[in-house]
Amino acid sequence: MPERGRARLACTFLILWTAGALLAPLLAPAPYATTDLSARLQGPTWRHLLGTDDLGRDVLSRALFGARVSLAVTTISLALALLLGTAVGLLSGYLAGTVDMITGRVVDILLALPGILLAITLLAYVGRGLAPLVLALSCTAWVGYARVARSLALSLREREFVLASRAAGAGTAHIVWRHLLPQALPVLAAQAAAGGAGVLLSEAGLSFLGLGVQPPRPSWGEMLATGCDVLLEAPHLALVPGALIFSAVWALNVLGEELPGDFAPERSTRVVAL
Amino acid sequence: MRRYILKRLILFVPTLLGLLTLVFLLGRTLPGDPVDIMLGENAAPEARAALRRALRLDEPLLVQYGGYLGDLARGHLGASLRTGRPVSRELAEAFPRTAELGLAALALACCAALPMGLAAARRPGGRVDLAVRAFTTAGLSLPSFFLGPLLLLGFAVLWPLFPVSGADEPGSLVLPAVTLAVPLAAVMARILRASLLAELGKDYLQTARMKGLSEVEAFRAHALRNALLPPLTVLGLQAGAVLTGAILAERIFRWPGMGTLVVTAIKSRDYPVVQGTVLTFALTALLASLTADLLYAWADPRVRYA
Repeated sequence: MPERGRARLACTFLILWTAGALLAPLLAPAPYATTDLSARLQGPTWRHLLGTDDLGRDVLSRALFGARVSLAVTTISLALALLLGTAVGLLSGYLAGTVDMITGRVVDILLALPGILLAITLLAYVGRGLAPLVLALSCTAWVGYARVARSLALSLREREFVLASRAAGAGTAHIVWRHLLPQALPVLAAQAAAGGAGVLLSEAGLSFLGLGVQPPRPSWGEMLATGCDVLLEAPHLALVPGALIFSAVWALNVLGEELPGDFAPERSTRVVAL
Repeated sequence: MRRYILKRLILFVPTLLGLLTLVFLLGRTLPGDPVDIMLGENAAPEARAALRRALRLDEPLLVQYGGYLGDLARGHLGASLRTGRPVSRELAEAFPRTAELGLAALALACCAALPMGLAAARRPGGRVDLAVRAFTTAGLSLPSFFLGPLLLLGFAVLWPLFPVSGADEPGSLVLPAVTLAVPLAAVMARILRASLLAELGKDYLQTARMKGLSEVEAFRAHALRNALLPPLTVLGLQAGAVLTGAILAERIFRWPGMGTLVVTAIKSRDYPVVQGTVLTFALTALLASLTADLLYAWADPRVRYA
């Protein structure tokens, strides 16, 4: 089935890029920050398999270490966003009333800001670097999860098992942790796969604008920006990081489309039946 | 209709106020002394005192907030720390550039999405449909900051049809506008196709056919109008995405608009300009979604009379 093939290709990409990122110190043929001005903007050679950039740095090494930054920032930001979004969403949906109204307004305001504008605004004031980047990305991404978690909690709070638990004297924390969270987790996990593509894209975009991690540390977006500046002399400098970002985003999008089905109970029983 | 518009407008106010408050609070949470950050620690004492007064840093927070809202209401956005010119002047120069780019992209996307969606829905699973679906999948996964360089390589370097960068030549609008339009066209074509297919299967269309309308007439008089509603909603939601996409596209093509302005301002810590551009971006996005909602109400009688 072509659908399965697509998912397999997507997994392959992600495993490859993750392995490259984890093993970067072993695989990289050169340190990512060593400049060699006599070897600027070279095409692929045996010494530099993917050529060199405008400062004579090895592009393959930078791509491998860049994968570390891009994938780590994406994963951490996504995890933080998921944590915050789930906590706020479940609590405000379960408690309802004033708490829900206040968080609802905050969420609406944040959603009114398009895409990465909120992240750009935060970075403008907080400063640039690894930690601000993670902060800005998770502050932008949590809203979506909060919304989903809230609607789940709203629909679950009147169900019998929650009422029974409350009647037996359970507190808010216990109900949210033991009863609401297990129900919400599969839905949120599927959301997170698709959300990962968005976070990765935002990270690359911010780094592309020069607002992400600061040089000499490489990231895919920053490499692409360098490539754009020397597009006429050395197009491979834009093509390599561009293809990496494209493949990773595509792979996460594909998984995001496939996962929800795999997580739904009906589908998993069908898979067992097969 | 009037009640709907009124309700929508009333909802607009707290959102706008919330945004203004957010930007205000961010500006006051700068780590360290903002005067040091903006002017450097070796600035002349007179300049520091003047900036301190201009920013109302000696006053209580609530007074600062009131003054900030008052300034905004009168259109006082302060002066750029980098060029010394009023922020409103900088915005007045940059905004039309970005608006030109954004509107060109919106128009281009609509012109491309409509025929693509129609052609794809005509015979689902056919060759045209497959081609359109391949385009939409690729268009959605290609980040603008990769599509842009690809277009540059293709149509400015290998086949030099358009200028590489800047905004001075007549053809310079084309490549950035196409870069912004592709993902938008992809989303809209996909949604139009899906909503057309959904409408074509509905009972009222069967009735229309039974009355003796030809397929084309039934389609034009009944299906198309209903099928255009979901793409219209998406258009409003995407207007904000076009704005942020413009920030990236402007960096690629060196287009002197709001995106270039805000990125330069962030890098040179020009906070008055950052604040002005962010507020303009946010306000434009809010107005775009408001317009889309009103358009939607106008197009859908169920909303209009609800």
